[in-house]
Amino acid sequence: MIKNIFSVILTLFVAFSYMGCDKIEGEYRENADELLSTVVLFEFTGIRCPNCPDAHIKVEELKTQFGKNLKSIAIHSNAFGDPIGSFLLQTQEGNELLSYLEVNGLPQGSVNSIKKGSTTEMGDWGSNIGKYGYKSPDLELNIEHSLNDTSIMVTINGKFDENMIGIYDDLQIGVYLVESKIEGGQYNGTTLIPDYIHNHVLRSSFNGFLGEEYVKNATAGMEVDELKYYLTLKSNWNKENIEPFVFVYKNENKELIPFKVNYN
Amino acid sequence: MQKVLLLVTILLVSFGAFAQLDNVMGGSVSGNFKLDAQTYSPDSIIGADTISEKLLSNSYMNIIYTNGNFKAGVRFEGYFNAMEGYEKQYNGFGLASRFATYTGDFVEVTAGNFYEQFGNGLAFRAYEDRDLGYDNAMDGALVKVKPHDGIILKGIIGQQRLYWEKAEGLVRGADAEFAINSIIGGFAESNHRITLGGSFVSKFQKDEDPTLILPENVAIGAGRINYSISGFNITSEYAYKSQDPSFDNRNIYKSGSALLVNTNYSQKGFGVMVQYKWVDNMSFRSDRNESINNVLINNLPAISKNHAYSYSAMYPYATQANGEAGFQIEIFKKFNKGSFIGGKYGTMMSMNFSRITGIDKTPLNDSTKIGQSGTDGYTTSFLSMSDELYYQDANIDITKKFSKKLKGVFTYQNIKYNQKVLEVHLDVVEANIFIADLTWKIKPKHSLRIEAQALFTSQDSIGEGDYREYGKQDYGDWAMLTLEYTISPNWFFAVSDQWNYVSFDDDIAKKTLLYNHNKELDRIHYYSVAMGYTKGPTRVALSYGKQREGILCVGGVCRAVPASNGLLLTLSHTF
Repeated sequence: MIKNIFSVILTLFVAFSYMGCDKIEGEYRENADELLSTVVLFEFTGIRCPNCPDAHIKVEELKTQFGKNLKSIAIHSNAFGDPIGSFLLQTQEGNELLSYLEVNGLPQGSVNSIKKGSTTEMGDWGSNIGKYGYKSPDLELNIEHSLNDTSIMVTINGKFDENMIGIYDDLQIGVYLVESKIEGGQYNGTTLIPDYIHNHVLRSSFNGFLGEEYVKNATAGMEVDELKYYLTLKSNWNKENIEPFVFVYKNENKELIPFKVNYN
Repeated sequence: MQKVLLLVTILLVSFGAFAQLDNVMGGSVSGNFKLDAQTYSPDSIIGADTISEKLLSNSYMNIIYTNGNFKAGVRFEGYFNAMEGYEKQYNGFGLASRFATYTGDFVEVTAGNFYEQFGNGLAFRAYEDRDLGYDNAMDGALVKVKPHDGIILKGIIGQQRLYWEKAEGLVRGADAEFAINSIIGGFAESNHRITLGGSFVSKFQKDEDPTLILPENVAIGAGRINYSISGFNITSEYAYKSQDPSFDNRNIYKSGSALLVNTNYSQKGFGVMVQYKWVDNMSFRSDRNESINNVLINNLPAISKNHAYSYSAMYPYATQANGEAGFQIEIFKKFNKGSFIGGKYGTMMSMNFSRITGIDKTPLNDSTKIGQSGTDGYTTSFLSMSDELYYQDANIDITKKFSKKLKGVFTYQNIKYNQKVLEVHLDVVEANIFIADLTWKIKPKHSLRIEAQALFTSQDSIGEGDYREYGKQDYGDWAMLTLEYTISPNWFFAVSDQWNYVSFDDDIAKKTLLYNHNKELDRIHYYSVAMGYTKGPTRVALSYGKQREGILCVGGVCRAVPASNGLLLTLSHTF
């Protein structure tokens, strides 16, 4: 009797063990197709955030896999964004956006959305990029910018696709300024890296953290009047490494529309 | 406020109704409820934020119906909105749990929500602690079978609770436990008691990551043994986890393992306990992208003392699932009445020491960083220890009765707490803590408890990188006094003040984290007053005052408690 019981238990455990796990061998990475539309990843991060360097690596991996149409912005915010000495990447707009999205913990990111609660852990970013990025763009934006000693001017021209279906009732446009190649402190786990290179960092906004009205009742083929934005440069920004960062979203649900942006 | 009143009304009406259902349908109804409601006032000095709702509350009610072999229950929970320190995803009200259980001689079956643990929990523990806001209940089926005297088999399948939702992953597992003395006839009367056990738990979660090829089925296998003779007992469990790239381990493909050994020996008036734990990459969740305390499938118990006094618990240890090695020794001795140390009424003494470090991790090669995403992460040797100290706690408790009316508990504690690892900022904090807790029985049913505590952090070179200064570690020094008057069995009244005086030297005090935050030398008083009334199974307590920011941990599971200032009402009842 007892031998039979043991035999049954052992057989069940061996069978269960055999079926219970997968082993990945060889290459752990896979490739994705080039995106059709621009996808925006709002990455909430911080120089004191121990896991955020992993998220930065994840963003770069995603860019390698999805290509140039994936645009990311690093929003340094909350207590993890507190300064290290005098080095600070936090911005008022970043903190406002973090509060607005009700972000809990870092790193977090939102793909093509600034809706409350839309941020997720980095493991979800890839699948969300795939969800948005393979739709044909309804809007094409051409962005140019010029600099003088004290300010930056951004010019935006937009045209809706001739084959677009339906109408966009109320679109908003966010125009941010980002800077790359900023050298400064960053925690990685428990280690402070004093000369970490920060890329795509939100520096400021031209029109508020939620942007402003872009166009109403947009239809197929419609061209939008040219927009111009100006911003005074700050002394700690490197003019060589700053550029505009633009996105367009539906006011009703705060989700970005399928669009394609060309930075000239 | 209206929502809270509504909730209290629902709870009380429900209780009133169910309290009378003692013999309905041949069964009985039991349960309990608890309501915590707190007002919040902003206080920039202690860092208490403005709370828009001004009042937040957590509450729950369990109702269980039992009839012979059958038991069924529900739990309502309400978070209007979740109190500070609890995740806001809990906000709302609803039926959080429901289950039905049939218990027979051969088999026990539970359908719905259940809590269960295999062995020490290294492979599986579904558990809740409402004070921690921790609940990873399973929703599915649990079957227990006793095919033979001394053999217990368990099987589980289901999904874990994630606030008001369920986690994406599907969890299934089995456990077998064999009490050898009951199975093998010749051992029935033996002093050597042996129990063997084995567990296997697997989770399934779809791979939707376009960048990594993820294992969709991840498993833990564990084996354990328990041996005891006379006053000696040893329990040991080893667990192995298959590849499980996740948010916790930064998507590395290394397998994980853990070893836990508990031994204890006791005889009248004397006891020794020794624990050892080694953990490598053993975080196991039913959603690989989750973090904090969400949907943990297994449990890695802390092997440091769980302290009750406020300052002893100021720097608690949180288990580091990505790798830790440590041990704990505790010795308990009771000195008899009439002995030199025991005195007229006897003396009890316990000494405890725990030390936890990281494990030794080696890069895979010259071009791969330790823990690099999308690789095997690192290599390590089984039972290795690194030089990095995570936590060390040496403490001694003496409980002494001086007379029929006066007794006291005296504690000294030295803690080394690696804030970089455990809170991700600053350095190792060293604190010395002194506690005296005296209870004076004034007259029958009337007693006064006086609790005095002091905590001194070390002076050190503090700060980061180029920004280091010589000053007090963390928030500096603290002193606390509590007076608690109890009229048994119904009433208690208490006043308390915790004074974060940092340092009496202004120059030193200005070089603390607190001063860096506030830019003012605020020696903050966290005062509070409290009173409570207990009648039978009902307890009502009110307290008003300031709560310092901190971390609350139970068994290695922790949550951050933000600073607050306000009135707290606690109402509980068991029926």
